[in-house]
Amino acid sequence: MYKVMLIDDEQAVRKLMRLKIHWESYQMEVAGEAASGIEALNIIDEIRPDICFVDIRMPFMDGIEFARIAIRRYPKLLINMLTAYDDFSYARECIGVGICDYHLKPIVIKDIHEALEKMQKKLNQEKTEESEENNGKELSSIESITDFIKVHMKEPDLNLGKVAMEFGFNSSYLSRKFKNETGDSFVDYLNHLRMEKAKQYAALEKPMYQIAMEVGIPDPNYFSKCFKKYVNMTYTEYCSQQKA
Amino acid sequence: MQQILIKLFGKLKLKQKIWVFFSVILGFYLIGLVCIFYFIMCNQINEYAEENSKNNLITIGNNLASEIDKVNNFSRLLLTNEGILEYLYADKKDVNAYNHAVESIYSVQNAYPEACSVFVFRKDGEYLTVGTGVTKVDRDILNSEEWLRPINDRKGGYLLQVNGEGVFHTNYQHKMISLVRDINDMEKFQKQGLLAVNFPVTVLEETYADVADSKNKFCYVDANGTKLTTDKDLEIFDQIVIGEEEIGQQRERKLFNQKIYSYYKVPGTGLILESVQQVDLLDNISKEYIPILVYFTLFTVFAFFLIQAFIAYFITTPIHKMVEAMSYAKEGWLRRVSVKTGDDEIGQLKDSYNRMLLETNDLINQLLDKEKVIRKSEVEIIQQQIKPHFLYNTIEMIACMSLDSNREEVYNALETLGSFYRQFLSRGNDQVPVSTEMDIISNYLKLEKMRYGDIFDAEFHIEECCNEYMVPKLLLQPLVENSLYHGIRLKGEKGMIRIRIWKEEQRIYIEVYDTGVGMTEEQIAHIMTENSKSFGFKRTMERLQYHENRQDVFRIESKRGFYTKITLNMIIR
Repeated sequence: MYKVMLIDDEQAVRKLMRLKIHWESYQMEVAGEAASGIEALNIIDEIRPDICFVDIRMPFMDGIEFARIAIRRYPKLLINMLTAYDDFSYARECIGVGICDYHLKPIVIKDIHEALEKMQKKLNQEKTEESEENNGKELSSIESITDFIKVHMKEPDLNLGKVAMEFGFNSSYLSRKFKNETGDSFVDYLNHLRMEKAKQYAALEKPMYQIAMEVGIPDPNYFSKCFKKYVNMTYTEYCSQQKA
Repeated sequence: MQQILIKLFGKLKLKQKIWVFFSVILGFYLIGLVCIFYFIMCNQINEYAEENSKNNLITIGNNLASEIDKVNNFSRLLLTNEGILEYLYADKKDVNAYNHAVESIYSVQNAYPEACSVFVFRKDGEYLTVGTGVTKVDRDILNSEEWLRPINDRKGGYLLQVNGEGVFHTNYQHKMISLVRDINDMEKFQKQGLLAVNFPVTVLEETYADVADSKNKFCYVDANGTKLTTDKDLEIFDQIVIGEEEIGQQRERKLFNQKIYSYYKVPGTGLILESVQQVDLLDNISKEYIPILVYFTLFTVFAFFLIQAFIAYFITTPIHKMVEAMSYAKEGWLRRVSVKTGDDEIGQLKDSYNRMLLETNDLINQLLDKEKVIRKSEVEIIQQQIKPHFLYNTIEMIACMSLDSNREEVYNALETLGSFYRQFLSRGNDQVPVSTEMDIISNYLKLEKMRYGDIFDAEFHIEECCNEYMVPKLLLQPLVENSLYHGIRLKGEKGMIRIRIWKEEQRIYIEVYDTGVGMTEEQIAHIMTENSKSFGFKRTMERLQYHENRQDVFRIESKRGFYTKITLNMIIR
């Protein structure tokens, strides 16, 4: 099964796509969703999708910016842009980014199916060509990795892919190795660092969106999701609790 | 009458006015010219005629004098005639002396054949007479002292009398003139008798026969006013008043002819010569003047037409053409006047008109441009608002909703969407009441809430009195959309959008407040510049500025991270 990731700030669109497209008939499944480019970058390492459907217009980080970063990390990723008709001039910026296909919103299921068929063929071909990549390089010390993370945790595009590229590892190798060494997945580790930092900032009673920016998650919606998951209460609740 | 004329004149075209005006002027001018000419001619002719008449009188007077001289000479011949002298001294009964005297008279009568009778009176009352016709002598008068004295006073000189002052009576139908003188003895210096030579008045008429005609009439009058003429028509001379002077003249003026009455006291005769001269102007006008007058009149009329043509060519016609050219403006188009004119006032008028036209057209263009800008921003706002994004996303949201098979919710969502777009796209009304605008906002927010879930609360505080106030349509929707997309959604926390509308001091205030991320000073300063990303806000404010016709229609207050408050104000009309 090929993994598909849906990135759109409209929950409805994600839901519709997930429900109305016959993913199975193309040996595909929806492995993850994100409501913004920021969120997508954070979780893309865990999901490791083969195909992304990305809305071109999203707050905090638009589809083009996301595509640029994602393709650098995962060159084989097939990115499908979703654009509204009146965004078309905006869509021209995509040229040169390496995007696989465009689809006009509102989505026509039939067109998506045609595109999926093409991509399935492409992926099938690549799979046969794909050989197990072995860089032959061994991880010397996990500390250098964790230090790098601590220094760069404020950067929104910090993720496993970036670190792997930085240190010259295969990202799946790094992921496995990282979990073995630290006991946490890369995403959990980074999230842990950011949330601890956020808790410190929360004492300063700063607005949430600013804290989110400070800790490298400039999408306050995603930040809020992460925070709630981590602390088990909303940011506002946490702040008032701290105050009390 | 006068007012009617003025009214009629006022209604005429410029060209006709000039015609009328010039015709009147020309009329007066020609009449004046003729009058002046007439008076000058009159005076000239009269003076000439008077002078002429005077000269005539003097000439005739001279004629008379020479005629009288002739009679005088004749009488002298008689005085020195021996036959007569003998008769004077002869005995009363001496028939021979009588006959001899008569013969003597006959013999000298050739010297003055005009004399009709000669009387010689002796001191003793005897007398002899030679002549034609029957002549009676009134002895009473003859012997009277009164009659004799003036003759005696002459001391031998002659005296002229008419019919001898009544001494002579004749069957002759006309009067006679008598030359009477004493006959004195040369040796004794004593009066010996009296001599009277009678001659007819026709002799006097002879003196002016050459000059007299139907228009020049003459007549002699003696000291008593008796007219000495054979003419019958004498009343005309009654007009003459004799004055002290030797010569006097009077004029009787009529339009085309005049009469000159003159008199002349002919010296040495005791007779007055009177004349009536009728001067006919038309006959007297010098024939040389007529062509001059005609030519001059023709030239004047010609000059009049020339001036007329000049005015027409240089003034009336260009004005007329300009009026025609300008009247195109009546049809709604302002066109340049391209009539050919000189560099005179008309030309300047045309240039000024054209300049004004250009400026007016510029102004119209500016207005059109301004209107276009407004229309454009309105269209842009609508396009911005209708942006497929919102519609697509909402449709997708509803489609998604339908998959959850919550029919009531789907129905509500579709109804709200329909209601929103119906108000949103309704044409014709650029302005809507506050209540309608708030309906649009409320539907809009309802849809957005369905889409994004419970990320904001909306509060409306509208004063009752503001509901009917008209505002530009879709004035608030872009602001609310900004609050949501650029304020609250970026904050990641549940926020609040509050709209307050109230009236204060003849103004309506509209406040859109949100607890979004706020704006920095820089962003606020930048929001109305051309490159601003907040396109919807800028266009909306421009629309409001145009609608209110002033600049300070909005105020932005914000604290970064906490809120944004936009306050609009509109003057109540």
